[in-house]
Amino acid sequence: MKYIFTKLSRLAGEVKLALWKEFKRYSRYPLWFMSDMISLPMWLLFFMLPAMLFVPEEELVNGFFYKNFYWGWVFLVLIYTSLRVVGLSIRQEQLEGTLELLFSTNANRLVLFIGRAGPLLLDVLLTAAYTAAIFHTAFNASLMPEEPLLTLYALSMLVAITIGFSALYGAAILKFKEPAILTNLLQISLIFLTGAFYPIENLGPVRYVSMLIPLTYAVDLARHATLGTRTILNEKIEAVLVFFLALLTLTLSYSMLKYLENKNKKEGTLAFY
Amino acid sequence: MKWIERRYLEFRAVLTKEYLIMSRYPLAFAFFVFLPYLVAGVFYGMGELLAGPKALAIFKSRTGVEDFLSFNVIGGSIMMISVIILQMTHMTVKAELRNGTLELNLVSPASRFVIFFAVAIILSLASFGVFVVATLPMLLTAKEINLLDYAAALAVLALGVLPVTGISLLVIALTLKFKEVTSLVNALNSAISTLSGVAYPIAVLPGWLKFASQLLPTSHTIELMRKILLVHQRTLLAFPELWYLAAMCLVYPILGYSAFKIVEKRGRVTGEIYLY
Repeated sequence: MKYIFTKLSRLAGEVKLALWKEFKRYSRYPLWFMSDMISLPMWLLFFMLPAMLFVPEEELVNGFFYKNFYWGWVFLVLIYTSLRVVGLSIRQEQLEGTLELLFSTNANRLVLFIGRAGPLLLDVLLTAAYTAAIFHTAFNASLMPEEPLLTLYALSMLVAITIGFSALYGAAILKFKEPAILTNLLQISLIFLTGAFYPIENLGPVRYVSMLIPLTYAVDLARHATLGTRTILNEKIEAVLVFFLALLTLTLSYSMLKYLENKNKKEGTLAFY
Repeated sequence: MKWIERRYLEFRAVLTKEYLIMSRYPLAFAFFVFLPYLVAGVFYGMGELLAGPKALAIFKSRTGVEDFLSFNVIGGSIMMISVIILQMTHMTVKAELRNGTLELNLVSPASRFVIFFAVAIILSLASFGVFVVATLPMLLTAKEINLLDYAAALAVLALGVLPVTGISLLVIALTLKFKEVTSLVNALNSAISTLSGVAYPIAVLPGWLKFASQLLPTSHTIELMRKILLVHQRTLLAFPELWYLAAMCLVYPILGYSAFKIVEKRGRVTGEIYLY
């Protein structure tokens, strides 16, 4: 019992330090925060306004369209942001030459980089609240989720699974070093295939590929919780499945990261990029 | 006379230098030409996913737009112009600051304004080229667009690029003053892209966003271009957008120049212009 407590308190200490470091780094660039506050809602409008013209006017009246787009955008920003957490942190430390120093400590490899999630997710939260206010004044649409608690749960699982993907991406960076193409491919395919803005049935036969991606179920559950749409599986089964998928993705990515770190250390290629 | 000759030589030298640098990256410009088509494709695909096969018919009935592709290519090309001019002006000045070559340019007896203005001008010319190449397929395939329409559209474009060049002087001033303003330029570009009616008529914007859109030169340029190339209206002088644009041709360059002069004058005294 004492062993577990010591382990947990050490882990909490590492998380605290990782968060502190990243908040310090983030506070150096207030302009980035201001830019996000302007550009994220602007890009939402950039895609939503033309999309509005593709649907019959009567469908806009009940407000579902706006709600669908707003929440779809929240999922998209969360996926995009969470993907940056581990993968891009590894890349950044690699470029700055600090990766070797960090990897020579005995800190948990995921926790080392998870600190980045703190400021990024806070940024998303503030921008989402601010965008909701804009949406409400501009379109007079109600954005309240159908099931607030389930929404929180589904969004946490969505973030956890995406961080798992981000760690896999981090492992790929350790393997391939130059990940630019991979970054774009991963982001675009995840956003397109997981159906943040539409039910995956609309993808036709491609939906079978979507169903192989763990993130699809988290997005589907989040859509159900916010918009009241039908789930792919039974709601309760999907909620449990999403939890196990998050656990599986995080464990798998952590093992992969650890394996590739050790391989790089043995081969002396950790410092290469 | 000697003064004019010197300024001309300085202008030509910077133009040549920037041209040589830009010609190293032909793929970047090919991408800019391709992007309006990509954006049109993304919107079309999004419409299909949301509304199924009847999406295009709904779009036509709600906007009165017959030619969806040309409508989007015109909007997308003008969006590219603002992205190229603003983003690349900032990147060019930032690269000079970072590489330490800005000081070399500034210790020369050349006019500081000419040095920066030439950067904005070459990018404006490049964006003009991007527009021509991007819209050429439209000119060749659309039956109703004739050369006269296209010449009028290019005249409007020349007018529309000037205020954007004025804004780019403001971007130069901000870069010299605050150095790292990439995020602000990104925000500015996102606002311009969203509020200019790139893929929709401005009429669909809610009230206060519509007002904000009227302050952007790109909104009026896109509107005029569509009137000329898609609706074939030729009485240019009758369009209020043309007069708004003409007024912006005065206001934005003057504002940009004033901001540049203030920063440059202050920077000369404090030396902050050389810092990075």
